[in-house]
Amino acid sequence: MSVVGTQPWLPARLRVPWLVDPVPAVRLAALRIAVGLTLLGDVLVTYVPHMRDLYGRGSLGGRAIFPEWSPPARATWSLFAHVESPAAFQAIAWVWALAALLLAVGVASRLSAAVAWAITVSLLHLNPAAHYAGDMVCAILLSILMMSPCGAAWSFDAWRAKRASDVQVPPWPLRLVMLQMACIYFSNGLHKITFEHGRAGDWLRGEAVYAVVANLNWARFPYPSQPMPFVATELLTWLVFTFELGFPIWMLVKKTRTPALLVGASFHVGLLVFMQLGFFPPWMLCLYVPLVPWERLSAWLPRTSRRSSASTDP
Amino acid sequence: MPEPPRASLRQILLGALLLWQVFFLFTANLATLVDGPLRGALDAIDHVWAEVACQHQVWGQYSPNITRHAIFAAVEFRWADGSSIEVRSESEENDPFDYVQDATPYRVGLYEGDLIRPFWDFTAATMNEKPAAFVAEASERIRSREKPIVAYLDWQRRRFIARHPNVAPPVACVLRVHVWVVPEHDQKPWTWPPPDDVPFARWRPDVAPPPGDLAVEVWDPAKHDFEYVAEKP
Repeated sequence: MSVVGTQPWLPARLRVPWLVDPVPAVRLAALRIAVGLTLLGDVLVTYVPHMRDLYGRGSLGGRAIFPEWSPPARATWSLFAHVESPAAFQAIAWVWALAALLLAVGVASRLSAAVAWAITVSLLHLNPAAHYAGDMVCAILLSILMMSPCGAAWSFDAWRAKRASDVQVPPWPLRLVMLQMACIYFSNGLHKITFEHGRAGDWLRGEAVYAVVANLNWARFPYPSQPMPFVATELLTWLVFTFELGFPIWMLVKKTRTPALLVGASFHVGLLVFMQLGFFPPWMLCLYVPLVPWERLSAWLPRTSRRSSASTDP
Repeated sequence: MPEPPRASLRQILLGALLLWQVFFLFTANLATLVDGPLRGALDAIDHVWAEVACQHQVWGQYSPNITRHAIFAAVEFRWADGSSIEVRSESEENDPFDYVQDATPYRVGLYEGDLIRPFWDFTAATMNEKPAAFVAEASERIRSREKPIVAYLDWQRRRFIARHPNVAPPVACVLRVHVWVVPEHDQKPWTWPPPDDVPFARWRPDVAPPPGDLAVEVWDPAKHDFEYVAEKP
């Protein structure tokens, strides 16, 4: 089976199977498609209607408004630091959406990822107050995709190269995604351990989820109309806390891996339904996408279509 | 495992980047959990990469505790004759018992929330009880967000003028905050008390601040008036 992409040089001690054994390219392809579609939705829903409000002359963003986020105070950069025209920013949003679409379809996959990443970072640094953790996940995933052979399967690039979908890729992009995921959850879990003046914090007391789902800033629907009694919010609080704090362990132990990932994915689906957090839940769900054994689906699909066509024969 | 063939420059560069990224992930996340000299040292190592590559590792959402206040920005336009009009945020629903939030106003809502963050800790009652503490915290926010506050008030002002071309431009813009206190879970009946509507900051586009002061004034609950905020505390 052929391997597409560069295998990085690693010191001998680090050449362990987890870091060097190739993985099915369809897993990276699934991540590319998920990131492309999520970015497309994010741009069309949260940026395009407000682009002129957020960027350009007379807007809420720009280097003059956030000097502490700009050089020389920081090493941040933006391709659009000197762009003032609101119409230009509107055009940038459409180019961004096009890059996201091309990434999802797999046309010039790495270039599309690079363009999407450059625009994402450039806009984030011009108006940091309008951005949040979901945008960081977006930028991190795009940076991994633009350096990896993300168009090796399930893409226009692969179709044009007449490449079979059962090719493999080096595992490092997916390992970086997993490490990033572990950092996000474990760090979140550690931040939740609090005692103030001898009193446990919201997460340890079991009140955190209620405080979030009842808050008008974040609840998608009014709390009284959500079918969630307080005891359920208590249990969810402790479940989320345990899931996040124990995430590295759940992943290291084979038996707990799949149940923990199902809990995590269900949690983000729940956030998507019950909370208004922008595109944060879809961005977090993107992290789970390469963990699905897409190669089994990929192997199953042609058989199904063969069976299907056979059954329709006269 | 057999020795791999001689690595190319491309492989070496990719390997170096990969190792750096793993090191960065651990140290940058550790930096958010420690204080003192260790944090300073870790930040010194990581901040350039975090900023250049946009890899900021800040993962403490809803931690350590969660505010019991839902806060929304509002802008009160004032005219010289004493009249005024208040404009609500697009993120604030008209009826807290009947709404479905969509993601469209989310980013402007984030921006507004960042400006009025002190009200995660204050209500009308607590700011009147502890006026000095409120002024200190609100002034600090104004110092760190002076330009975004002016940009927001000016943006709202221009939107208002565009929608009301026959009305004279307002002479003052007051950033107000609607504070909804989340009811206790066992409150019977479970209902929202009316929100507080409190002033936070004022910007007067045609008035230059005294030297050494910011263009945005802070509300002082003790004096029941706005006062200028010094550029440096």
